[in-house]
Order: sequence, then structure tokens, then C-alpha cells
Amino acid sequence: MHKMMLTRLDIEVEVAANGKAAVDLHLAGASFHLILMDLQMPLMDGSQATKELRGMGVASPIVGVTAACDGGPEKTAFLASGLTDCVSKPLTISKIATYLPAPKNPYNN
Amino acid sequence: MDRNQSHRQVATMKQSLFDQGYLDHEQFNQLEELQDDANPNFVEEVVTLYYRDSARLVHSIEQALEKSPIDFNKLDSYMHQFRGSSSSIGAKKVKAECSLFREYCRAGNGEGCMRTFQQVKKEYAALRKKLETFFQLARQAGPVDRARRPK
Repeated sequence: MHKMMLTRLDIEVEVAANGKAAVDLHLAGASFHLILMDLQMPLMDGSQATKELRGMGVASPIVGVTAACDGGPEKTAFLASGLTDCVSKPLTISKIATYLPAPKNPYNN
Repeated sequence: MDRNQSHRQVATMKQSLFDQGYLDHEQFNQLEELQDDANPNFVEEVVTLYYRDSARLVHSIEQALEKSPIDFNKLDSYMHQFRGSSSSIGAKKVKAECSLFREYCRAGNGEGCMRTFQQVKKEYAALRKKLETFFQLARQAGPVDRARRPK
């Protein structure tokens, strides 16, 4: 559903089923203007994936999207793994507008 | 029925869904902002996708509840996903029941989980029916004139 919302703004989206798939994409040479990272995922969670990506030298903004971003120790730990930012679910375009390229940002006049 | 009347009907129904707590108006409005003349059924498409994807999760939760002993971690994980998707379309009552379910899950209360899951399914089905009616009305009313057209 997040893909559908972003595709609607003409943004190319690649969906990784879990943290490991995200890391593998980068190992294969892919790079992205923005990474939206869920926290709870099978195989490798968002925190671990973020740490690995930063360890690989991935400098793209990584924005955590999870109910855990409401606040508290879970949010702190997730941010500490190397996130640029953390927004709470449900995802809305306005929450990540600042990371979208200007022409595709519906809030940019 | 003229167009304005149809649109008013749609607006009234939408407001009642917000007032009765079925939908979160902020979240639903965010989806509607992505709808325009080029994508006139965007919200309906997102909701259709939600019901399609979540059917799988509902089935997985049902199966997990039938196992003995219950794997509460697995159940919690499924429900976390289901709750997240539900919140993406602003499904307020469904989300609330999901949160209650997760509390029972964390307490290892199988019976509480089963009881609450019946409520989850009830709200899920009720919302689906309401939204089907809403989208049917919206399609009949046609797209809203967002821009002023010169006469």
C-alpha cells in the first residue's frame, strides 16, 4: 500500500520483503534516494538492516516507519541504529514530504 | 438526482463514517488528497488492495489460533502487520480491536485472543460493507469539480 501511494506521485518504488532483502539489494549495487524502513520484519528486522546498510557506507536517508516511532525506548533504539528520521504508522505523504524530490512533492508549491 | 445532490450524499456518508468512528478522518483525507481526475478511484483501489492483502493475514491468524499450544509471538507478529495495514486506510475500529487483541496476546490469553478476533473480523466486515456502499455512491456521483471551469 505504501508503494501504491508513492507510485501515485510518479516515484519509482522497489519493495523489499524484509531487512535482508534490503541489504541484498544494496550489495547487488542498487541505490535509492530514500529508504523507508519498517521495524518488525522476518529474517532481519529494521534496526539490524539499518546498521548493516550504514556499515556498508549507504548514505541515503533511511526513514523508519513503524508504530514504535510513537516514542519511547523502541524509537530511541531504532534511531540509534542509524536512521535519519522516524515517523509513526500509518504512513502519509505529508510525513515524508521533506524527503521527496521537489517536483514530486505534492506539498511543494 | 442532480450532481450536487449526489456529491452531498457522498459527503454526508463520509462524515457519518468519521462520526461513527469507522474511519480516521485525517488518514482517509490524506488518501483522498492523492485522488484526482487522472486517478479518480485511487482511494477505492487502495482499500481494495488492503482487503486483498489482509485476507491472507486473517487466514494466518485463524490458523495460528487453532494450533495447540498457541504461538503467541507468531500471532502478535501477524496482528502487528494487520494493525499497520488497517491504520493505513484509517480503519479506526478495526485498529482498536487489533490493539486489544495484541494485549491478550502479550498476556498469553488464548481465549481473550479468540474472543477479540471475532470482534476484529466483525468490524473488518462491517467496514467493508460500508465502504462498498460509499464507493458505489462516489462512482455514481462522478468526480468532484476541483477547479473552477470558466463558463
